[in-house]
Amino acid sequence: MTEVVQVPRRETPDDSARPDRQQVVDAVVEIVVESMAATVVLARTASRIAAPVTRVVWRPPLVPTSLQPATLVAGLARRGATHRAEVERQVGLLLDAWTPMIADTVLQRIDLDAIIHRVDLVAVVDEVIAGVDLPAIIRESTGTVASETVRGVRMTGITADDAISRTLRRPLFRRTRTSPAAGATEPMPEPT
Amino acid sequence: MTDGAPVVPQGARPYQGANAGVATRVVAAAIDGVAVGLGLLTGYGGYVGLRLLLNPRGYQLPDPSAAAGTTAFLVVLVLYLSVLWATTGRTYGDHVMGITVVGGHGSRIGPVRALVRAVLYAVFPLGLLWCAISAKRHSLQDVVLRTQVVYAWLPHPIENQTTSKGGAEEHRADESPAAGEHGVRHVRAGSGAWTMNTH
Repeated sequence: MTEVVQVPRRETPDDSARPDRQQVVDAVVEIVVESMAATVVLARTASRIAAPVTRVVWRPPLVPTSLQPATLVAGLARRGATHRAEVERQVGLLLDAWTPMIADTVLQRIDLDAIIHRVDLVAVVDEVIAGVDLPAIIRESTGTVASETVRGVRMTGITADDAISRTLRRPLFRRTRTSPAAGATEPMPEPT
Repeated sequence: MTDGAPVVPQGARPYQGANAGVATRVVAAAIDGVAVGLGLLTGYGGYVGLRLLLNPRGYQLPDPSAAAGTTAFLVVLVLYLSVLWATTGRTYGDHVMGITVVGGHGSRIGPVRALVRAVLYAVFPLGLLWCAISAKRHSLQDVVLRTQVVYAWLPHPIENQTTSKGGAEEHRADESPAAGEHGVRHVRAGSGAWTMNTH
């Protein structure tokens, strides 16, 4: 006999009573986005307003070109670029000299065999093979090769048909008729 | 032969629907002969293996005569050719070489005509060579039964000849030189070329 048991209903929590974490995060994101948008607008406006002043400061009238701030800054930038290239070259030389030594020192202290033994290479390879649809690739490449071969055979057959027709019909029929494949009088293009 | 839409190369398109020549047809016939021979050998091997399994002690290797082998080959060949010509219009050899057997109006031949054609080919295969000197590339069997063999690289040119599939633009102005004296109109659509024989 089946006994019916009444299960008490669970009270659903009142979501509106307190803000959950997602709401707080969304609110913060919205505040950040609005602030950034306001900053951009302010920066654009300030730049537009200050543009004439900046232009005058950058290229002041009645000042020789060689003494204008823009010219001076350009000269500094040129020299800075030269120095930067030189520093990069020297750092490169240092790295070339030191990196192998450091790497050797580090590698001497690392037991690579132990690391490799820790890694489940079979599982990794299985995962990679599972990710690559090898049968599909083999199927596709085989199909393409077969298709190309069949096309080649067919085109060869057509060319041979035309050659045989030309060879046999001329002596047999004096009254030359149009070849069934008169296109064969033209060079046959390679199958594509 | 492959997955996806079949594509007829530009160089082969003018030939679609034109009558196939002797080289293509002989190669196709040879492929069919080999296919039937292999099928027969496989069947024979299966039969021998089955007998060995059923009676391993009293088993003796059968010694079939040449006449029995030839008869079995011809029977299987006739069945193979007639069934495929009547159903798909092309045997495996035809499929490899891209040719199809059609009737006088470009339609598929019926089962009776396919059977008679297959018997004629099995009994007198040399009749195929007549298409080498025939102006219309007809074999003796073709002449007798009013059939023809056309280049048709696409598997089902007959069904598609009057319809435009996939919204492909269709036009019939392509009277290619390959059609020549056979009066084969070409209906080219998209990447394929379908044929319609006007005889």
